[in-house]
Amino acid sequence: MRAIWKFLSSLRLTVVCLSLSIILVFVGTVAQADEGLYQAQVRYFKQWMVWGPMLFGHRLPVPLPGGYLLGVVLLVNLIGAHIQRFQWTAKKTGIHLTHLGIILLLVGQLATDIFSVETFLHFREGESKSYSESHREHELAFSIDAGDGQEKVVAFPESLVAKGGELRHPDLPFTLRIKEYRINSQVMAKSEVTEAGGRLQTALATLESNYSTAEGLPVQAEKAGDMPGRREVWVAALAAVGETGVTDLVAAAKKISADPGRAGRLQTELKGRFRKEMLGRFTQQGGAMQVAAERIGKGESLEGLASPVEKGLGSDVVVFPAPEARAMDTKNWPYAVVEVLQEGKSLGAWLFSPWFMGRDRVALAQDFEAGGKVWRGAFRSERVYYPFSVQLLKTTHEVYPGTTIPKNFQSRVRLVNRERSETREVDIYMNNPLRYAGLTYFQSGMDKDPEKPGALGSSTLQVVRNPGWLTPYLACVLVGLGMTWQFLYHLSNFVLRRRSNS
Amino acid sequence: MKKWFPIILAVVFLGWAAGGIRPKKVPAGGMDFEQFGALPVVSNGRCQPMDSLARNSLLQLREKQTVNLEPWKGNLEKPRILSASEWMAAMMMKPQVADTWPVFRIDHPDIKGLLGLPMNADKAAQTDGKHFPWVLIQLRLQDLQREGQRAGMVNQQKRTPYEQGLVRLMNCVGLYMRLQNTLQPQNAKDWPAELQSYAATAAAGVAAYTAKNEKKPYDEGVLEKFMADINRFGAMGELEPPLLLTPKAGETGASNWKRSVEGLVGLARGEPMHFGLSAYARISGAYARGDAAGFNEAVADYRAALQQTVPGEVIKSGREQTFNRVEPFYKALCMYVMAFVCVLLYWAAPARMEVARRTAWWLVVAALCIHTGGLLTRMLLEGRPPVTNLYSSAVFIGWGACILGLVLERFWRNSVGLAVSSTIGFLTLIIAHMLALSGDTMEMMRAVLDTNFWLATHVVVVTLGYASTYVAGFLAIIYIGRGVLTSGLDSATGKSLIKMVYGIVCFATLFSFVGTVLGGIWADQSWGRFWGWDPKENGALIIVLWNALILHARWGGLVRERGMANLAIVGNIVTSWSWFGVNMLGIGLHSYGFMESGFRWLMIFVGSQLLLLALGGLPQRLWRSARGLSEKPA
Repeated sequence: MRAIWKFLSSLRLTVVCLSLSIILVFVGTVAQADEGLYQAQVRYFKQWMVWGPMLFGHRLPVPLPGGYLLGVVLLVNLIGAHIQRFQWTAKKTGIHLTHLGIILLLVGQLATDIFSVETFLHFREGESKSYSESHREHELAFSIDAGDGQEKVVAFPESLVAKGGELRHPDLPFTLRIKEYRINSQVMAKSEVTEAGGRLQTALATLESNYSTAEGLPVQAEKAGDMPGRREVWVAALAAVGETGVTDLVAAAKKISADPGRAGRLQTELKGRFRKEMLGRFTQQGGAMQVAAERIGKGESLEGLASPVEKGLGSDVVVFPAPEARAMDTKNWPYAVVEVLQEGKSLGAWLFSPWFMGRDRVALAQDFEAGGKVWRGAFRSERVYYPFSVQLLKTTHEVYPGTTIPKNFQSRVRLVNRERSETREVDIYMNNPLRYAGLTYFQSGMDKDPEKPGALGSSTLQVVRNPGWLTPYLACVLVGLGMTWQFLYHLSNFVLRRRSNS
Repeated sequence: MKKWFPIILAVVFLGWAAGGIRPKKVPAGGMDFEQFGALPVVSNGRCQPMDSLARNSLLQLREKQTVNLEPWKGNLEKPRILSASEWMAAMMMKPQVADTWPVFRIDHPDIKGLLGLPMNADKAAQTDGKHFPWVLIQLRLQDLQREGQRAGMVNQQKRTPYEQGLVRLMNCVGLYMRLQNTLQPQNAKDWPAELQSYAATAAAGVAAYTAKNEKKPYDEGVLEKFMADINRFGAMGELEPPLLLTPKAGETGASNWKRSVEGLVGLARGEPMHFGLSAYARISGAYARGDAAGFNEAVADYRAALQQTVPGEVIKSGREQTFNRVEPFYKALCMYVMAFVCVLLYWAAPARMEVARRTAWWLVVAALCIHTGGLLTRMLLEGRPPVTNLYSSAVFIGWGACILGLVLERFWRNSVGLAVSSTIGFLTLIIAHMLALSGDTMEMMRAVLDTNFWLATHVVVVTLGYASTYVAGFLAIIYIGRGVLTSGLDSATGKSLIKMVYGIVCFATLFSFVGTVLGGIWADQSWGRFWGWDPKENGALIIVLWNALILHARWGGLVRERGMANLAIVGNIVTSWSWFGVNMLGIGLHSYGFMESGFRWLMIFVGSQLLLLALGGLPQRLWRSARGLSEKPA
């Protein structure tokens, strides 16, 4: 027992922990370039053990202790060392202050990690909101009017929806049966996909006809001459029919078009290559065009696309499941097909998804009648409601003259708290957040064209609840004082000793 | 004599530096380009003298602040050199002439091949194979544009050196065209006359245009001339050239400056002629005629007029021009080199060469004065704390390390501190010089960085942390270098060196810790989180952890002198990694300073430190100073 205690409070352990921390931070930082900022944070720092860490694309043969483990061991080591070797002398005061600051910092960061909540508030000029929204989490929410402009809301977090089965709540006069759920998806209007498909088919047909005759080849070759990308395809196609190292496309095309056998082969080569290139290009456009291009590329028809439900917004859309989004600035777009049951009788099934969104990122709800009242349902970003509201009065976006370098982002907001009969206006800008009711509002994003001062701007504020936000301030002061004390103590001793020596 | 020599030498050097404060005399009958270079212009979001615009443009184009018209000649053959301001005058007012001057530096053979440029120096053909004029480049402009656009589409980190060179050249071409369209349209033949005729007929042109749109009769000749003018002004405006015209009466600030083209278009709207337009046309006319007296008079008159409307800007531009002319950091750099040579002389024979040590001391003091002067002038010009970007961090690290070195020297008087001051001063100023090649070093601060409070606290403190970690590392290098390679290191000097390392590491721990936590607090103020594991934050954290590790390893008795030295050398690698390496990852919120060529230099530096570590890893009995180190100090 004593040996363990001695080990836990030893300087040797401190040095080992510090070395491992340095390695972890280094590996975790480099990993951010390959694995994404957010993923790497979760995998290396917010972890007890890191299995199979990567460095510059190579897997390291040993696991690393994660950020949590190192933090906790360092904390134990620090506290242990102080219990065992504590002395209240001038010589040691600096060290004690420093270490106290570090303990505070470690504990504070642990608390931040556990308790802090980050949400977003997005609004247009003039708009007022009494809630903020989560960036990543969603909820399946049902609401009815409660009079006086208020509404009553029952919301199920996405984790419950993901479990499937049936959802009930005493305030809801109906039961929900989750028939289908995907964590990430693409939902788009059926008409959009078929239209995109139509456009793509037309483009492919034109392509086909361009290379359908041997006589047309020199003309096409001439057109391709100056187009970046197209020339390379021609050179590759010519190489495939035995014309290597061609510089004059037109001459080569003329030569081949005179030989029917080779002309046919060249036509097939060109059609195949340009078709592949075109499908690739259209896939990159994303959205409906991507879906259409992928389907047509696989030789599938766009005719068989069916909507998942018959009622509501979901009746004229198609859904495509997508892999879970993991990178830093991507998010999941789930969907759920939900059947609403009242007293065992089905009222119908609806498709709910955050894809249904009105102007300015407000979730679109779908109405249905149950228990004699009109309910609105939506699968939307998870909301946190507050007993006060924030209204966006004015957005300011300035750039430096003659450049696009941003100079200032500023939101002027009105804070209205009826409970405390408080109404006041505040400016929120970079490095000047608003702290109110245990929350901090930061200027995070702005959608406003600095060239068009008249246009209505919108602003995104980041809303953070972090009970431990003060700890770094205190820690900084403590460590600063402690180290300065220690430093000056040693320095004065050193100078005195030198004086007495000489 | 021996007593006064060091001080006299230092004073001579100070005089050399101060000599730049006064402008060079204009030869009789010559044009006063210095005065032209002092005119204020708004570019890159800030008001600056024409001289700064010219120098920064030349740095981007040819990595020098002057133009060598005959680069194929050797230095002794006296090639014709133009000042930046003189070049700028030609760019703006006689672009056809400027087009024949070799100002584009192109090194990559494939780019030269693409443009059909001569590969090698050839005196007969009047080329050095590196610098080329616009007239040669524009022959294959289409090829350049096609390839440049393709290269521009490639992800920055995946570009080949050829593609990087293309993108850089494309930027240079854009800059070049902007400058030529700043004052007047680049195709103007006789600008004062053209401006006058345009001003006289603009109203009629507008009337003709309206009449045509309303299907009423109009004068075709007038409309045609008017549209031709408007089209060429439109082409000027699309390039977004620097802003030459001062704000209207009653308005102030850089954001209200206007481009020439805006003044020209304003004439068509019935606005009165901006006095800057006519003044620059007068300057341009005199310049084009080669009328030196007229040019000087026109510039002086315009400057006097500006003093009435924008006095603050005129003064600031004048100061900045003087700062450019003095080149304090370049001069300090030269003096650091001299000082280092003196340090080596002293070490060769410490007993006899005390004068060398004193010379080094006074040279470093003089260099530090100039270094400080430059730093303060920059702060004054920018209205900012000393560190605002990577460039100024290099200048500041050098400054901080130099002071630390002098303090150490005061205590020990064995040239060790001077060695540190001069080497780090020299290296950081070289790095700063390299960083300045990317353009304006007094650029404006993005919204999130636009806070003098945090720039003055977090950035300054963390940069001092870098500086002190480097000082500890260089002290360790001296210990290892002298110990392994020479027999001059005795046990007392060794002990004192390691004591210095220890003291400086304490200092470095304090600064890097407080600086890093202040950075976290700043992040908490602006982004809502104290710690986000951003690469630059992590880099700073690694420095703190490393310094803490050195201290704890020593307190725990895990390392002795040699171990301390080796650990401190690793500190050099760690600091360089977080100063530059993390920027090269190209991720995160701090990645505003991505550099391509810097990576190679970082690797070379890391390699050199690893080599020193290998030396330091040799058992002490194999060191050349083994005997000296094993003796007990007397």
